[in-house]
Amino acid sequence: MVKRIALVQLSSCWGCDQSLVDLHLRLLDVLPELDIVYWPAVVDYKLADLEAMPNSSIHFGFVEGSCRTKEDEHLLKVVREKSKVLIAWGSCSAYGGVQGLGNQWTIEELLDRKFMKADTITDPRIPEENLPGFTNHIIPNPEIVKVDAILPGCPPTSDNTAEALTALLTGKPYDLPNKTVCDQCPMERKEKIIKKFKRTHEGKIEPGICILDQGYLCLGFATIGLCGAQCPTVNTPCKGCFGPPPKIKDHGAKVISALGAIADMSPDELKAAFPDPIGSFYFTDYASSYLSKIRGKQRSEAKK
Amino acid sequence: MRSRFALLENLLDEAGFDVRRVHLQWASAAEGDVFAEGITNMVERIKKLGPNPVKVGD
Amino acid sequence: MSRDEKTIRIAPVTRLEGHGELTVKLTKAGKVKDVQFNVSSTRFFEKFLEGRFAEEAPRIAPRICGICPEPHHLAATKAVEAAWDITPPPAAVKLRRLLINAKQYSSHALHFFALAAPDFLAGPLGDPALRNVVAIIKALPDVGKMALEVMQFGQELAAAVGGKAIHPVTSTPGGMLNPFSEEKRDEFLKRFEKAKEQTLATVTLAKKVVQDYWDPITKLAVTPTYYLGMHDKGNLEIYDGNLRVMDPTGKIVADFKPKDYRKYYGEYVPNHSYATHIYYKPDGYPKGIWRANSLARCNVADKMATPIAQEALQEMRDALGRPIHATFAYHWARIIELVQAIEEIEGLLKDPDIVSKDVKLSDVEPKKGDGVGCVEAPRGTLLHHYWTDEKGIITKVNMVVATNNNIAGIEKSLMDAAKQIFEDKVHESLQLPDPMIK
Repeated sequence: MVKRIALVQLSSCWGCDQSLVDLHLRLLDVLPELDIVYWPAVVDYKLADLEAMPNSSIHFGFVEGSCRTKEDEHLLKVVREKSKVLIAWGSCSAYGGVQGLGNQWTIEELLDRKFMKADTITDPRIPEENLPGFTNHIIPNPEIVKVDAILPGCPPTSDNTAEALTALLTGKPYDLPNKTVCDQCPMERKEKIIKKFKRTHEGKIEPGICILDQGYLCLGFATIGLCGAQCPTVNTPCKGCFGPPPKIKDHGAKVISALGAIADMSPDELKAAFPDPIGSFYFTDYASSYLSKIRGKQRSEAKK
Repeated sequence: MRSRFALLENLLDEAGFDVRRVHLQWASAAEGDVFAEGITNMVERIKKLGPNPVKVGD
Repeated sequence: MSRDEKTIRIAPVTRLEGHGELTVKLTKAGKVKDVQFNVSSTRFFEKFLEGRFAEEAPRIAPRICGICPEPHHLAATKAVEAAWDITPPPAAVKLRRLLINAKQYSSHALHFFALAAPDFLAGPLGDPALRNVVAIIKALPDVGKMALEVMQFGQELAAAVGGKAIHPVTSTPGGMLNPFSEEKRDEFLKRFEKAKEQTLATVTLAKKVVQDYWDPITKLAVTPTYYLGMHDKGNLEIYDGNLRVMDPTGKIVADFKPKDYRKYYGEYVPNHSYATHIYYKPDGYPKGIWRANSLARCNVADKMATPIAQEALQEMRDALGRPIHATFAYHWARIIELVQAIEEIEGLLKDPDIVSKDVKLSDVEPKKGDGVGCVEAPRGTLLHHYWTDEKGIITKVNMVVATNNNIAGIEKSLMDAAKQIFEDKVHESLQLPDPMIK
């Protein structure tokens, strides 16, 4: 039976859609099963068409991106209403995404840098006409509406999306694996005692040997194993873009906890090695961290 | 443990929280006086800092 | 708004990368009073890159765009290398050129087949349910299959060099983290012949579309603007070169190194769009509004860098002149660039240096400074400017991203089109072909 599907884009980069398109010829197998009722990236139906649909009339709603504007919030609520099953598609949707790093500042500070102070600006102002306005703080989608499933990834690989789609179309369960990137990584591992951390551009990352063992900050040990260890396979440290394994609520906190165990360094040395803990230990999921959420509550209390 | 705490201090600082409100004190079950002293110092410090500007779910 | 005015809102603009709405205001008499291209989102990368290790910028910045992450990956790397005074090994530069051309190839194919072609194959007055790539795949399965295979070649080559196609990871200050294996090189050389054939077949299809739609192409939205693009000694170039600005009469008014961009780039903040309007600063706003992207690059370059593409450019210039202001000619220029991309890929795959193991310096040191990294993304000139402290931590960022260069020009061409449609009713007399998809 053909299923009605909507693909909605909040503030995002389109990478998840691109990953779907990157099924290439496999699309020819998947497309006949789908009746795409809303996908502005590719199809010409308008927001008014989506808003006019009966509630729960869409079988699967895929929402990519996170709520940076008030229009994003509206769109998220609409697609939740109209969908039987809502899937938070990609790390932006599940955890807030890389734009969650913006939660380090107030929205006023963000607007100021972009619209008032940037070096090429000749006529500064904050635009307001026929525009939605911004949210004060990025709150991950699962905390704004009920989400039925998350498919993390930045983006989820084409295989991840294909598996999830197949499971949905055939009514089979799809559980996120309780694995880390290390489980999928081809590098040779030894006992972990790190005496010094090196930044990615320093020295030379030797192929075939665990990148963390070599002293580079590879977050694979604390990151869900869904991507096939794409980055370590090409000699590049994992940056944790798929988020934590299931059950871990705060990705960065878990990383800190583990580093405390494997670093054979004094606390001062460790502090000096990571002057930017937010940037080093979080990437696409800062908005889901405890500290970011506390900040978010404080900001919304202050605005009342 | 100290290492974790050191990194946590960095993180709190960068995320805009006052690290003086967080304190790590080692004390075993037999060192009641060490524990009490640590708590007393902490309470005094917090009183001087005043109410926490960050309040959750009041 | 007065009672006599009418406001038309298109929300959202579809087959667009990003978030945009269109607002058209008409007077009671039916005259076009105002056209606004409302870009309705932005995520503030310029701010949240502050405080980060600069070498992480090539990992973070690609998240600006899932269709063109490779240009951001490379512009970020080049900006850090400029700030820290680093020259990567020549073989690393060749790998980066392979990466950016692979992306140019797949992105231009995606645009042509998925974003643009539906209008031409189903017709601009066709049923919205048919005006999309899904319908193309159904109605014209051979075209659909070829489109998917062309995109696949580019994406898989980008992944082979960059680690993954969407948000590549191997470029870093000092070179590349991973060399290109002989196995991969041999695999792609084998696949290359088919890709080249399919590229030429795409050119044939594009030429047919141009022929069939000659009337709208030459009549609708022929909008004079300035043009911005990168060149290398006059040849169209996308990885590394100088920037040229051409005025609407065709005169080259500026030719400069990207690091001097602040003399030439003006950024006007409109009240109705989160994406700003970029213009040629010496001539002021709105006179100096420029466009970037394929047609602009083809206008400012003396010639293409590769032979078959150059023949194709000459054909377009013979038909439409230089500079070409016809907005729809962007699609034609994009196909010409598709040809250059496959020819560049051929040259690089056949270069023995492409499998060199000497692709990264091992003694890269951060320093206090600032640097500009500039490349051509499929949608236009992409510029990243980073300032770093002595530890190599980013203290400030200014970016003018590719599409940003086109926002004002898009609005201008929409104003022209709106007047032609609402006031002159041009669409009623356009010669349009019978659609291929009905």
